[in-house]
Amino acid sequence: MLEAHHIFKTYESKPLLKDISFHVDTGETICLLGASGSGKSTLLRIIAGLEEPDSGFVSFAGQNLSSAPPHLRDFGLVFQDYALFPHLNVNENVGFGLRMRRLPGDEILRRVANSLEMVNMSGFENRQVTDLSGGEQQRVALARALATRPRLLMFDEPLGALDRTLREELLNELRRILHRTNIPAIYVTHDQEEAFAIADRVLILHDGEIIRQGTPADVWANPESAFVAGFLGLGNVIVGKLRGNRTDGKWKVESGLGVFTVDCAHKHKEGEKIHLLARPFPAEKESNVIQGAVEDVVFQQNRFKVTLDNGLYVYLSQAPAVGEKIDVRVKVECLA
Amino acid sequence: MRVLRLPNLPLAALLSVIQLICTLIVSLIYTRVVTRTTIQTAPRSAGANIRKPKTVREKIFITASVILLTSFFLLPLSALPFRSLFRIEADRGQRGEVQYGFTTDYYTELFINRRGSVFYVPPIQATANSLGYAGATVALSLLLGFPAALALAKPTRLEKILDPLIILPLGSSAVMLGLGFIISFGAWLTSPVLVPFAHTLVALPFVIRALQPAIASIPDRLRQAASSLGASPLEVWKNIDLPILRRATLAAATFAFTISLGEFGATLLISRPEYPTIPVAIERFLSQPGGLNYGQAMAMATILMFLTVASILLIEKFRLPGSGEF
Repeated sequence: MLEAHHIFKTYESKPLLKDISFHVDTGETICLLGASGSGKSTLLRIIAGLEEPDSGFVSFAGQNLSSAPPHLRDFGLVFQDYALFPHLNVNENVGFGLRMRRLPGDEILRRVANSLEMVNMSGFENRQVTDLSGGEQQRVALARALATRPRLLMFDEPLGALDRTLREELLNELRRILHRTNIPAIYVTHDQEEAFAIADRVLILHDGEIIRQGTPADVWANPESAFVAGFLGLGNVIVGKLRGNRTDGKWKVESGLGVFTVDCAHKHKEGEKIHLLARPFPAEKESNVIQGAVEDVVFQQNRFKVTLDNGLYVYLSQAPAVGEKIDVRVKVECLA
Repeated sequence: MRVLRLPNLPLAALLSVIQLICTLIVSLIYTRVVTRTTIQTAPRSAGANIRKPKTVREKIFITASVILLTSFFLLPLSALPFRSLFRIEADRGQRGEVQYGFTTDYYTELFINRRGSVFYVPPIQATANSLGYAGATVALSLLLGFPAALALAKPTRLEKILDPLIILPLGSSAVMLGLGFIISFGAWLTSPVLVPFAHTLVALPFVIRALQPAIASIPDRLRQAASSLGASPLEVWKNIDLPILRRATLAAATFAFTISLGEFGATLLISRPEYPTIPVAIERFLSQPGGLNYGQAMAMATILMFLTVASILLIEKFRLPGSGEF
């Protein structure tokens, strides 16, 4: 369906996007995940046709879109600040794209009602958009994008301005709608929880490059780099030096936080500096242990996040006393 | 065509250039200072800063403000209609005795060409001329003002140069602008089309200043959302910018209209004698001796005043209900 081919873009003579290529399949939702400044919004704007890449191009169903202006691309856009038209009411906002397509009036009414129903906003037709709450405004913006039945939907941090419960609620609805309509979608966010919840495939953007892509489960299990592990908050990233290959094929790694024994899939040399990921969940069967004095205990839902004096953290079901010395068996993995 | 009576056109031009340079320097400094000292302010809801004066000092301050405002704004304005209906003049041949009393003579006299002068223009004609010029000025200044305001709304380096240039006509006197028109377009002086152009030049700073913040306040995302929904650039302009800018456009049009109605300095120099505007007609009456002429000038001025107020009210009426505040 949608394909991005070797997209390069510089901003104020600094490279912002370096050779970005990816594709979105029919009915697939991909998520561009990255910190602010990673170039993810620029990439979205390039796909929408609002900005031009320095080189490379975007194609849809094999058709090069380089010369297609944004209004002929038929891609729906949903923004963080909703971007509803303040001088039009809900009905007129949702029907805007349909009026631009010169559809007959009764068809417009039918499809507006249909779209509003999809986002649970039936009955709001004649309300002023400026009177709506943030969540309601975003639902209207979504209905507006859905009404034209675009061939691709794009979301730029759509839930960034909403509070947590509303965010979860809307995220669930959005996933349901995307599955039902089968419209391919690109979802841009910096929030990994949001990304993992909605995406069929996650693309992690860092310094203008896609450094990791895969299903949420795959990325979670194999972050493959210290940056991804740290950015996604998968656990403690530890820097260590390789010290000797053991007979069972495992490596001994020395670090300021202890000595660990890890499996390493990649080829390594003695003395090489590598990154380890110590998952923060206690695992009785593991041989590696992290230890230290408890510095801080924070209650989180059904567990306690316990931070140690050396900066490491683990999740425990029982709260230890502050200052108590503990050691916890955890899984330690080798990051490339 | 008074400039033909000016003894020294080069001297006048030189003086104008000096004034122009001074204005340019001041407006350059203004632009610099403004860009450096602009402070984002949070708008307060109307009425948030309204309360009754409490202390004696507050009461004195408010009373003084009200007195100043009424004496400097209302008194001169109300003096005009009063004098247009009140006779204070000596009858012919009886210089010693001054007559007082209410009269409508000045208004009726406006419609009579006593001396058979070729320069006589009935007040209806002057009013029609003024309204015609004002209408043309509105059209012209919006036509020129919109693109300029659009260009200025996007912060670029161009703005630093254009901004002071656009304020320039504000700071330079209208007589000077008229002089410039005569020097540049002398060959066209026989046609009345120069007048709306001169008025546009005077009105343009106000028009641009009225439009620019409104254009800049429309988030680009609205236009992007509209174009992603299939609106071509022209449709975006028609369906998003224009309706949101309706109010600002109305304000700009009001400025252009009233400025054109009242413009005198440039008009005096370049208007055709057979198409005088109301201010020019007033000046003609004032430049002739006698209480009758003076009274007629007052009557004409009163007509202009009411015309201006009426047009402002009329334009305000056009503000469509429900378009809200943007």
